[in-house]
Amino acid sequence: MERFHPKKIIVEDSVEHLPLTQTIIGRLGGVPLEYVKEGAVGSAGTVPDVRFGDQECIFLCRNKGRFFEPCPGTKQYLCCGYTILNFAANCHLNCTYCILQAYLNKPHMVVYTNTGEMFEELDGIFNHPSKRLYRVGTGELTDSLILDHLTSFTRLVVPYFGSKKNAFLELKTKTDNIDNLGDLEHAGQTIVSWSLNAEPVIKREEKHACSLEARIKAAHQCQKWGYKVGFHFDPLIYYPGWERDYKQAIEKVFQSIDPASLCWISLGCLRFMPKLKPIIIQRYPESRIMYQEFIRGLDGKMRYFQPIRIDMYRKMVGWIKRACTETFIYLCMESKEVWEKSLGFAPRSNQDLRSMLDSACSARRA
Amino acid sequence: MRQVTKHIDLKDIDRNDTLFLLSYGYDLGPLKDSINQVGVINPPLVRQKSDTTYQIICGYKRVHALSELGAASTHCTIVSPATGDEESFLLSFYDTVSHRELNPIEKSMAITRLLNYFSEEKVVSDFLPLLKLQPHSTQLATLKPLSTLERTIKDAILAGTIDVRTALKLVLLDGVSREACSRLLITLRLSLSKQTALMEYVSESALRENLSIGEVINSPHIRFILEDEQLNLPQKGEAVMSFLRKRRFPQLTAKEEEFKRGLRQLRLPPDVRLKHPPFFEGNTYSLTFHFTSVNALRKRLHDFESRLDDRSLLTLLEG
Repeated sequence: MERFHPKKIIVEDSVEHLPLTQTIIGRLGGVPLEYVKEGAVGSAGTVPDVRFGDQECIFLCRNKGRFFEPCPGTKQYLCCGYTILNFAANCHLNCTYCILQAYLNKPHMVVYTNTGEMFEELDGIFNHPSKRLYRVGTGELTDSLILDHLTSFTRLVVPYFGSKKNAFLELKTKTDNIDNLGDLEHAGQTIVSWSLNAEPVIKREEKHACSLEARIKAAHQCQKWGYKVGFHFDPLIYYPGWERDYKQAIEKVFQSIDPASLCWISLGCLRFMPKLKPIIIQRYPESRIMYQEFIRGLDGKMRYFQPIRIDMYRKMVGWIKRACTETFIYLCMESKEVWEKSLGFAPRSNQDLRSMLDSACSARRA
Repeated sequence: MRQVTKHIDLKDIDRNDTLFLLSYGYDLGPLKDSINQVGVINPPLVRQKSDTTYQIICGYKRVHALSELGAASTHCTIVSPATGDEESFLLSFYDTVSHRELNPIEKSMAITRLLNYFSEEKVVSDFLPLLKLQPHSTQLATLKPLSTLERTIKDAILAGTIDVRTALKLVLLDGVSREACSRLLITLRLSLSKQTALMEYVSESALRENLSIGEVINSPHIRFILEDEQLNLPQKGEAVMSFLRKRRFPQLTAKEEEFKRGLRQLRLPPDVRLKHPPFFEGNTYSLTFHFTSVNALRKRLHDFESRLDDRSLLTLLEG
């Protein structure tokens, strides 16, 4: 996969002196650089809509808000108590179904380089005496590793989490940008996970991401470096004949991956805010993913009609369990009813699901 | 601007030259009545094209009406031959917008022609307000394509059988698909929400099934509904919409049918309504009935309680 290489760097003057800013600028020698005043590239309409924006530009700035926040789950479906760490925003992989198309209002790849403030904020949370275990992901507003060859962010954050006993970091990616991870002191507190899909879906809907094979190979390498790994078949995309392709993807995973350090496999059927549909149709007229049987879910998002979801989950669970009975499988943003019908059991509550995932993090051998 | 007035034979006025025409979908009847009563009050404004022919700038309808009334000639005002196209068009434009609001097709025609002479920015800022439109470029982009539509669709827009918003979706289709869709819309005379749904069902079914829109619309089932003499127009509309929805959402509509069959087996009293969760998402059903007193409520609850062990109810709610 071709690594992201911007054609322009925009630096907010307030972060010019920061080490991460200097690291990125240093690695992009020769790329035109522009300094702007803080707030000049803001969210108040000073830049065009992300749909038509220029992802070939990287914007280095200060995160003036919080880095750390709870995952925006919904009351209507079971949530796993995930938390997110926003160190960057946007993604140039341009997967057709990506929610960022309707979510972000900056067109550029954004990196918040005030990492000192980020770690201060994290210290304030993790050093607080509490029995809570945190599962923290960096792949909500971007791909966790897509900029790592420029930022080496993992070289800061993986050892940091390695020093914490009450927090696990999950790096979620569709890339094989793992070079920085090899020699880090992760202490079993980092899970590297890949969003996976059936190969035809990758070719049609995730054109700029790594192949399935490359993702599995990268996961295998991370296992060799002692990391726990995870996989997310999310979004599962329905199409006639999906069964054969997804079954093959699962078989490929278990041909290479050691189940002993496999933390989890999550499953989540394609879901999206209604306003994303016209954007996808406009940007990717060749994509057919919007034309399946979607209904408006209890949280207002469009989802496959429930029997379709249950059928997909049941089959996926069957294939995964056939490959490895011990695999911990969970559903992302689904109801108890769907859990019951797909997995044969359901967490009693959000807290119950959270405990299950916390245990999965802790129990697996790194 | 130097102008002269002259009596001109109608045969010397080129009525096929519509360079400055801004009228569409008009009824000549009232104008003919007026001419019959009092003659032509304002002479048409024309420009000399050649030694013998004239081009209409303002007054297409007057010339047409005179022709239909069998007149051989009329008084016209002739602009100087040096009057350019832009100036002539503006004469036509201001003459029209000063005394009536243009219909959507005419607005589209005006926008298209204004863009021949002026920049998009100027059309938006200076002319859209005169057309009673907001000065936004989206208005320009939205309305401009309407005048490119086929005459049947433009007429349907003015007749109210195809909404402008639906017509703008028709613009995006290829000619064959547009013809098939518009024919169905004109036949069924649906509300806007149903027009929107119909367009969505048809285009998305075509994409799902790798068919053309024409193939979806010309399916035997739709033809059968349209030809059914037992059905009136609203019933045909309902039947076509139901068929298209089933085609677009086969599993959801099958489940709805199954639920309806289950309800019929339950034989609930007519005023009792049992509803499934919206789209069968979640497991919250609703039950509605009426009562007039505490005793009546007690009786209704008692009646319903006796049904709780009914196998049909269990099947319906728990599958």
